[in-house]
Order: sequence, then C-alpha cells, then structure tokens
Amino acid sequence: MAHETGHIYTAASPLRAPRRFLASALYDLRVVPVAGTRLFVRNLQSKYRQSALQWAWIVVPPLITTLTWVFLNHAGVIKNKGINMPYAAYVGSGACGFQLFIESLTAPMNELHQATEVLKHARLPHESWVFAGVLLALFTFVVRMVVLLPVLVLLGSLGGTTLLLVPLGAIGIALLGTGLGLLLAIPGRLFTDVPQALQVVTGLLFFLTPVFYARPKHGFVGHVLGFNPITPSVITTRAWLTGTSGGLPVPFAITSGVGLTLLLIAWLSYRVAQPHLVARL
Amino acid sequence: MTDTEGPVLEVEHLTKRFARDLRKALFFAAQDIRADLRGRDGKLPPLREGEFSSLDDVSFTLDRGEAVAIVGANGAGKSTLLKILHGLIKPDGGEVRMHGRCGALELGSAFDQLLTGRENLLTQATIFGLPRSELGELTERVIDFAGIGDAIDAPVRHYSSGMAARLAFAVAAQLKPDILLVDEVLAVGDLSFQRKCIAHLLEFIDAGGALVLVSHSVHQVQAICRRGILLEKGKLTFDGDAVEAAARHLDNQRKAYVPGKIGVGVAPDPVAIDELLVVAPDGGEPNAEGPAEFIMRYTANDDYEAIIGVSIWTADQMVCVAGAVRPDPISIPPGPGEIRARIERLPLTAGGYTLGAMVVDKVTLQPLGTVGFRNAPRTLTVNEEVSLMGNGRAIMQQLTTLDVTWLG
Repeated sequence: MAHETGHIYTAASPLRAPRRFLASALYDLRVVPVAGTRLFVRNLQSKYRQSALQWAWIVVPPLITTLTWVFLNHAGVIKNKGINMPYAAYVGSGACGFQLFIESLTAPMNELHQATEVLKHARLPHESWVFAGVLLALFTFVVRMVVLLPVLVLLGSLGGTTLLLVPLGAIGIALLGTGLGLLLAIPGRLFTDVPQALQVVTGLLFFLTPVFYARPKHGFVGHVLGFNPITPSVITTRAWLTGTSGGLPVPFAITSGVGLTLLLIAWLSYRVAQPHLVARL
Repeated sequence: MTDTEGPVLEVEHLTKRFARDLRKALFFAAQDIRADLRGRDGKLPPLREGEFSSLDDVSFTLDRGEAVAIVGANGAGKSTLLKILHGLIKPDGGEVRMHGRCGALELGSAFDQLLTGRENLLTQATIFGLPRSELGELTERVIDFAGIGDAIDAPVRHYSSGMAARLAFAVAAQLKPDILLVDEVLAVGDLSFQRKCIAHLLEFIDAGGALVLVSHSVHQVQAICRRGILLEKGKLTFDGDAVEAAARHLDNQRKAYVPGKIGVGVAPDPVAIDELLVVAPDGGEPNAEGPAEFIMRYTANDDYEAIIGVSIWTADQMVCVAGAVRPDPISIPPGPGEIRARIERLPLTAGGYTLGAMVVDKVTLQPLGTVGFRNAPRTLTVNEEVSLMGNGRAIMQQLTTLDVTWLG
C-alpha cells in the first residue's frame, strides 16, 4: 500500500467521506497484527513476572470452577439431567468456552484502559491493543485446552475428528465477545458505569449459560437460555470437544456471523469515536 | 520527504472546545460521538453551557523549510493545537490540511512502556508508512543517533527520562517527516544532546522540512525558529517574527503578574534592564577588533548593591564567546540609570551575535535583572572591512581573534 502522505482533519463526521474513512482504517490495520503480537508477547511476559505460580494462573480459574461444580454435583446439589458425558468433562469444557467469551468481552476495555497514557500522546492504532487482548484470551484458551485434553482422555470423553472444529468454535466465541466488548468500550472509555455493570452482568451470565447444568429444552429458563447468544457457541464447542451430540451448529453459525458483523460495526464506530475519547482521556 | 507545491500545512478557522467540568465533558463527548455517527456536517455548533474555546478561529499556513514557534501561557491552546495537527483529537470547527507526512516528538510518553525501544521504533516506523526494506537501516541510524547502544532492546519502562527523550528524538528525526511537531522535548537530556537536537532540527529545516515547535524556552525558540505565533486564550494574536512573539509573550506574562499569586505571569525584575548595547564610539555598529562601548540602561525599584556581568553569545545562543564582570559592586539607586564600560578592542570577528547581561545582588547573589537568559537577548552585529583574512575567518567560523605579539 502506498504511504499515507496527507491528512485532512475537519469538524465534519468522517462518515461523510466514507472512502477516505475506510482507506485510513485499512491503512492503520496494516500495523495491527505486528504491533498487536508484540504487545501480546510483552503482556504475557510481564503479566506473570511477579507471580510465583506464573502460568498456573491461566488454568486456576476454570479448574476451581470445575472442581466446585463437581463437588456440588457429588453432594447431589445439581440435577445433571440431560448431560450425556462425565460431569467433570461437561463443566470443564463449558467453563473453558465461557471463560474465553468473558476474556474476549473484557479485553478491549481492559487493554485500552491500560494503554491510556500512550494513546493520549501517540497516533498508534488502538486496534493493536484490542488485538493483543484477544490474542491473550485465545492463547489462554489454548493453554487450558492443553490441560483439559488429557483429563478428557482419562474420562473417556475426548472427541474424534470433531476436535478439528474446536478452533472454529473458539474463534466464534472470541468474535462474539470481542465485537460486543469493543462496542461497549466506546461508552466504557467515558463512563466507568459500563465496566462496573459489565462485572455484574458477566457474573449473572455465568448462571444463564449452560456451563454447569444442561440446557432445559422447555420452560422459562429454557426460553431465556435460547435468547442468550453465548449458549450456542458454548454448547457447540463443547460438543465438538467431547465428540458428543447436542451441538447447535446452525445457531452457532448465526451467532458467529452476528459476532463478526458486530465486530466490524464496533471497529468502525470506535474509529469514529476515537478522537472524542482521546480528548477526554 | 514528499515534494509538493504550496504550503505543507494549512490551518483554517480552527476551533476546539472543552468543558472544565468532567461530567459535562463526558456527556458532551457522548453527544459528539452520536453526532459523528449520524454524519454531522463541519459547521461549528453553538457553544454549550460550561464549554470554553481552547482554540478559537486559529488560521495560519506553513511552508516547506519553515519553522514556527507556538508560544503562549499555560492553557493558551498550544498543546490542543499540536494534538489536532497530530490527528489525536478532532476540531469542533475549521479544518487542517496536511500535504505530507507528519511526525511528532513528545518526550517519550508516546512509547509503549512494555515494548522495547526497537519494538516501539518498528511500530512507529510501520505506522509512518516506511517500507519493510528500510526498517533495518532506520534502526541502525536511530541507535547511532540516540547513542543508547544495547538499551534499544530493553523495555522503554527501564529507560531514564533522558534516554527516552534521546530515543524519541532519534525516531522522530530519522523518520524524516515533511512536518515535524515538537512539544517541549528539548528541555530533557544533557546539554550536548540538546545541541545535537537543535543542530539536527536546523538541518531538517534546511532540507525543506517544516517544523512546529512548542517551547517555553525563549532561547530554543529563537535558535530554531524565525517565525513565531502567539496564542492567547485560544486566539492567535500575533504571527510574525519569533523574537517578537517571544517578547510579546513575556510582556504578557509580566502584565499578568499579581504579587503573591502563584502561576500567573512572571514578576518584573527588581532591576529591569531596558536597553543593552555594544556600540562603536560614534554610536554606530562596532567593528571587529575596534574600540567599542558597552551601555546598559535600567530601571530599579529600590536601592541595591549589585554586581554587573555582561556576556556575548553566538547568534544561536549556544556558545558564550566572551564576557566581563565588574569586580567591585556598585550602588544602584531607585529609578532609571545607566552603566557604561569601554572595550578597548572588541575581540570578535565580523558577524551576528547576541548579548546577555545580569545584575546580581551583592549579598544573596540572586539575579535582580537579566537579559537574554529567561527572556529575549539583544542582538549585536560586528562589521569588518572586506578582506582575504576576514573571508578566511568566516570560512573557519572563527569567533574571536587573539591579541598576540609575534616574537620571531
């Protein structure tokens, strides 16, 4: 691509010159994979530098979640009706998928918040930080898979060829999370109410997603879960991981498509909002 | 650099507004984002309650090879202007057109603290649009210029402020933009590096680069820029000679001074030096190696016992060529006064110089009045009849001539 050799900064909305707006967005995008990957590597190195347990922290949250629900299941608290695999495999794989969604949802806001100082002064694409955050979420998912897969083998719940579709499931989940997260990052960079509310909502979302219980086919809860956009992604990825039936490939494809569209809209909206956000940083 | 005809930077009716109240500022931002998403036109909207204009209808152009200093008090809108020129924030009214690539230099705060110097450099170079094939050579040039050696591979968070400034300058300078925006960076780093930076900026301008410099250092403004723009409460009130812009700014600060109130203007000197001259005995411009007279006219606000010193600097104020201090203190009564001194032989070669002077309290050694240090210096032109020797001295950039008696 040719060098960018001129700029026009006006008070008018960039959407009034859509060609120039898109060209500038694509121009900046060139640097995102390189800069984002560098930021991701640095983040990873610095994140666990002062930690004694280091990378163990990647697997601790879903492990604790799984163990808690396995314990509750043993105690007979959970009615695991409709679960067609060992309960630990069910919760473990569901928790990994759900955690990936939450981490990609919060990545844009967290990463952009951490980069406030540099973004105030430098004309670097904000997308690099979002990209780095999503890479970290995906990397974390991979590490969790490395731990989970032998466990699934031991439990006799490891899928066959459907395992090859798991990366697709992860990308679908990440798309939905990042699209929603980046869209929320626009008001979230201005008002702290957004990250606060997000914390509450994600806590609630955990209970509205079939991570530790099977999705009821009927009734009010089943109806609510049907509206939860994460449900198809989590269920389908789990089905591919464990080679069981019950996946929802069509709803999964729809929610992933929605995720991609959302990400595109969020990206372009963020770019429109960016100078106003930087002015108030 | 890119070659195009006409001005490289055009700023027209630029207006930017902010609200001091944070909550209002956030709501206004949300309103502005919504308006932009709905495709608002470029018309200046009416001022909202609680808003003020950080920049108010500012217009100017900048040509290639031109350096302009933006001066003004804190809050005058200098940083806002630079941020808009750099594309970090957008105006509320008016337009900026840039015909070329723009680079900015800001202390090193523009670096990601986690990335190494090399990674920051490569990221900025890629953003700037440098082809991958040129990255290796650029890295070498930056390391060489910044003189930071192996530290280029250490995270920037481990850099000292001086090192970060060196790297920031090296990156900005070596990317060779068409327009360079410089914000107060030259105040950091050791003196030799500052000189290197100023020399490099002058080369950059000579090579056709356009420079926008924001600096509180009157010396730097005058050393680098011939043109100055004075901003006052967001309005452009002067666009002309850099020395005059700096002098007007300092004058404004003096006028704004209120005793006991911190941060508004500067206090007038107890001994205000009104005039400083080095003249020939006939009152005209002095000649090289000829007799001359030093005259300082002042106004004192009280009785003082003071020591007087005068210095002659190169035109760029980087090198002090000669100086003299009166060994015994003198009494300065309140009101206007004059001090004269005879110079038997002015030890300067022909050319332009600047003059500085200082009146220092005998007991506290605090300066009572200065010229050319915190404010604009006076200029001095030394003449010489055209001669072969004179030309030789000019070629060698000789500044002074020794008074010698040849013995053989």
